[in-house]
Amino acid sequence: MRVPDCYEYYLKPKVISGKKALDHIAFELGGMNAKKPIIITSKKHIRTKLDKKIITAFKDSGLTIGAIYDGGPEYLDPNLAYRLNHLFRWHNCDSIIALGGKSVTEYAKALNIFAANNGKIDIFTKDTDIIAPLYPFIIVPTMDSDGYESTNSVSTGGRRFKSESLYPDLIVIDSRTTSTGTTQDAIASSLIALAHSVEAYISNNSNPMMKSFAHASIQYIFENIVKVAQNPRDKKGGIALVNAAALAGSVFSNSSSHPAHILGTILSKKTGNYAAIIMGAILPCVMELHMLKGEFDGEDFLLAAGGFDMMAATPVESHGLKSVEIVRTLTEKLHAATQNFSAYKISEYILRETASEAASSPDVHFTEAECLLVLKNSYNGTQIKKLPAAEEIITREKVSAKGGRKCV
Amino acid sequence: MRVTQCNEIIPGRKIFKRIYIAIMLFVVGRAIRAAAVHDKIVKKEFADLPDDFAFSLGVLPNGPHLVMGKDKKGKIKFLGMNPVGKRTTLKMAIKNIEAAILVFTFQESTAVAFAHDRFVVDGDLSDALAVVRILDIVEVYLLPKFIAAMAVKRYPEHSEMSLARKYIGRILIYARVVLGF
Repeated sequence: MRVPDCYEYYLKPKVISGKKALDHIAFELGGMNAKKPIIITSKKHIRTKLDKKIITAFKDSGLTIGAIYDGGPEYLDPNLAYRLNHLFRWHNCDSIIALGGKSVTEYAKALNIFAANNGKIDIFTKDTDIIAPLYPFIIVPTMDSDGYESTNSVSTGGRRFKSESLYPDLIVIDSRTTSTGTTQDAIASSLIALAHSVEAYISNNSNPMMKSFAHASIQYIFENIVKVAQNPRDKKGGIALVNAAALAGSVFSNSSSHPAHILGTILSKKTGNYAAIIMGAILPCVMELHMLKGEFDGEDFLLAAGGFDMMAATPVESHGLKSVEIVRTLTEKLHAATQNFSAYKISEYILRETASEAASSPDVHFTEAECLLVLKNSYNGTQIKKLPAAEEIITREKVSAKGGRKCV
Repeated sequence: MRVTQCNEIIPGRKIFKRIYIAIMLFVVGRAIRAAAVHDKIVKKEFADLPDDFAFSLGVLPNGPHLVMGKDKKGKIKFLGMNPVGKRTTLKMAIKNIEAAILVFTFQESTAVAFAHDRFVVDGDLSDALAVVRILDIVEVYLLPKFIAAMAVKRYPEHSEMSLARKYIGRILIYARVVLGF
C-alpha cells in the first residue's frame, strides 16, 4: 500500500448509530450547552410520523423543542431560510436538528449560517467566508439521502458553498428513522454513496483514511442494498445503508475528484431525470476510463465489494475488470434502468453540453472528450475499450469554439 | 410560512418508566448491601475499594439515582435515592431513560451497555469496573438463570458458584431486601 507523503483528512461529525440512538440527542445537546433546538423536516416525514418519534425521544430530557418546521420546498430558497431565521430567533432557539435528507439538511445549514450571522442576507450573495461560529447542528438522516447531508457544503441558486464549519456536529442514525423510506429512496441513496466511495479510490488525493471510510461504505452497500431494496422496512439493512451514506459523505467532502457525481448532477439538472440513476449508470464507465488511464487497479474496491474470497479467486490483472463487472451486476439487480439511461431519450447535444460543463469543473480531472466518452458509453450501456484519440479532443475543441456553446 | 408546530413543544415525561427504574434501583441498592454481607466475592470487591468509597448510579438528566458507600467501619450502606449533598467518589449515570430501560429490563447487559456508550462515568474507572462486577453478581442472586444470563457478561459455572451458595444466598438477600436490614 502506497504511503502518501502528505495528506489531510478532516473528520468532524460525531456519529451515534443503532438502537435508541435518537434518545441520545438530548444528552449530546446538553454537552454542547444547547437547550432549545428547532427541528427542520419535510411534509413527507411528518406523514410518516417522524416528528412524533423525535418528540418521544425528547421525553424526560428536560429540554424544550423550539419549533418544528416542515414548509420548505424541495430546493433551497434562501429567502425562506432567511425568514426561518426569524422563527429561530423568536423562540430563542440555540441549536438546529435536521430530520430528513435532501433539502431538509440544506435548509438547516442555510438557517445556521443566517442565524450565526445575525440574519445578514448578503452572506449568500457575497463571496465571504463563514467566520462566525455556527450553532450546534445535528442531522438525523433518513433513507432519502442525496449524498450531501453529512458533507461540508450547501447549495443555493446554482452556487455551492463549502466550509469546514458546515459539517454537522452530530449524525444520529436510528432504525426508527431509517426504516420509513421506499425502495427507490434506498436505491438512489446507495447509488450516490457508491459513486462517492468509488471516487475515493480514483481521486488523486486518495489517502488511507479516505480509503478506510470508502471500504466500509462499499462493504455496507454491497452487503445490504439488495436486501433493503426488496424490503425497505429492514431495520438492520436500513441502518447499514444510512451509515454507508454518512461515510460516503465524509469521503466526498475530503476527496478532490468527483467525475461520476458532477456528470450525473449536471445531466440530471439539464434533463430533469433522477441524478442517482444517472450516477449509477455513469460509475462503471468512469471506473473503466480510469482503468485505461492506469489510475484504478480495482484491488481495494474488489476487496471491499466482493470480499476476500472473490479477490483471491480473481487474477491480479483482472481486478479492475471484475470490479466494473460487479458494479454492473449490482445495478442490474437493483433496477434495469440503471444499466444505461437510453430510455430517457437524451439528445446528443445535451451530452456534449454536459461534457463541456463537467470538464470545466475543478472537481473533474477528465478532458471534455473523456467526459463525452463516458456519457455516450453509459447512455448506450457499452464498455469503454480505448481512450479518445488526441486529434478527437482537438476536433471537439474546434467544434466547441465554432458552435458557440453556452460557456458555464 | 407553513409551520407544523409554531409553539414551543414540551415533550413530557415517561412516568411509568421512571417509576420502574426507581423500583429497580431501590431493590438493587438494598441487594448490594445484603450481598456485601453474605457473598465473599462482593465482600472482597468492596474491601479492595478505597475507605471513603461512595458511588451513585442513576439516570440523566433528572434521575432516579441510587447512592451507596462505605461507612467509617467499612460497612456498605445504602445511602438513599438522592445524590444531592452526598459526597461520592464515583458517579455512574445512564445517558437517558430509554437506555436505562434497556439495562434494567435486561435487554442489554451492563457490559454491553458500557460498550454501547450508554454510561457516563465520573471517577476512577477501575472502581467503576468493580461496581459492574458487583452488579453482575447481585443480578445472578436476584434473577432466575434465563434472565440473569442476558443481564450479565458471563453466567457463573457451578464450579464458580455452587447451587447451594446461589440458592441460600438468594434467600438471604431477598429476606434482607424485603425486611430492609
